[in-house]
Amino acid sequence: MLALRTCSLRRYRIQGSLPAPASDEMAKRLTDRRFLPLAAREERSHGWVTADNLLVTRFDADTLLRGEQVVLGLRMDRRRVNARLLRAQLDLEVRARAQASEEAGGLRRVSRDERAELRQHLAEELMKQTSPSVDAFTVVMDTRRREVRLLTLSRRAHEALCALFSDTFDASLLPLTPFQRGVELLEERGDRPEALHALERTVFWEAAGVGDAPEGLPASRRMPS
Amino acid sequence: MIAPSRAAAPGIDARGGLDFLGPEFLTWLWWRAAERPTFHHPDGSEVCVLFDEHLEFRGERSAARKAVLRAGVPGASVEARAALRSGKVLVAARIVIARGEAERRVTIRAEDLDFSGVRLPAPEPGPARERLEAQLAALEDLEDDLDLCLSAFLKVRISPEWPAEVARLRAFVATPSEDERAAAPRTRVQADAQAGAGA
Repeated sequence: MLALRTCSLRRYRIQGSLPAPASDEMAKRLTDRRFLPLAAREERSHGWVTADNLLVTRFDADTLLRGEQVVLGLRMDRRRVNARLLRAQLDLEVRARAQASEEAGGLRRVSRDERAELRQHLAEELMKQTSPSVDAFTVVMDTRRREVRLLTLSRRAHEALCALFSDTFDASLLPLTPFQRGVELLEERGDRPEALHALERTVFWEAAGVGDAPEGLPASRRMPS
Repeated sequence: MIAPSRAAAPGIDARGGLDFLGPEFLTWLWWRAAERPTFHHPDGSEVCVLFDEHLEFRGERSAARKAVLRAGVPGASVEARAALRSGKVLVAARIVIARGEAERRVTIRAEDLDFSGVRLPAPEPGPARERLEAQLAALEDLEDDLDLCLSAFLKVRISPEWPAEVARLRAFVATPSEDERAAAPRTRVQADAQAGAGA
């Protein structure tokens, strides 16, 4: 079972309309973009899973709703051929072919095209034998606040979430940076958010010199000027 | 269907071209927490902010571009003030936010307002589902409390009061830190006063 005692997160504002949390439409949209395991030649895949179990892709009110919030998982699988292993195998294969060619009375060399073909074949073979790395990150969707939280700061996960969310709901996610949240807070308070655009960087301290001692310290503890 | 929000249009730079806003907020919050650590929600509930064991400063105009202070109470250290005096700003900090008896810890990454290492209070014992719901509510409270701090910052940041606020922050940075005061040799007057008091 998912627990949130410790976590990292980034907040997003939902831009667009979403189905109601407990609706069939919500379940259908998530199911349409559920996680599908990697096919033999696929390198990466991502999709929705339940937050409680990354193997479950059945979405309904029971698996999704926690209080007023929708909680689900973003699963990301990635399969990568180890480059050093590929290079080593390619080297062995090239040598074996060259030797066979020489023994057959030909030249002791493998052409560039042949080498590229061999590389492609070996990469595909290795890909089939490689287990994918599996990641699953919790996504909390607060439809009342129109806010989404992704409980990781992984850049790849954030890119995948924004793309998947857009594909699933035809809605986009806007990161709640200090500026974006600032605009909202000013609007909520009745202030003009345009005031933010007029701001210029504050120089808190003119960098006179590293180690300058403050006033109030004995002269012996100040840096010589 | 849930209605669309009125927030900024998609496609806009999420930081609004104001990369400095987050670091300025965190730098201000550090000073504000040292001077007056409490903030008040409109309902009167009090939030207390304390800077904890991690501060990360960055600045382009100093010899060292980045300074990271860990463990102990770096907010009260010589090094933290020296970092500001060398033109750096605070870009990440671990803070404790307390409301009532609930104490939450979080590292704020200022540029994007990301949270890392969030530690929420342990929920009451009970079914796992209820505990998760309690943690989600605690997370919401934490966001509300940080929004309260950001809102207080913005109120002064867009007002004509900002230069005076910066002057107060500078004065704070110019005073010796607790470390410096503790390490400074006593002056003759202080020593005499102490000897007089002991006699």
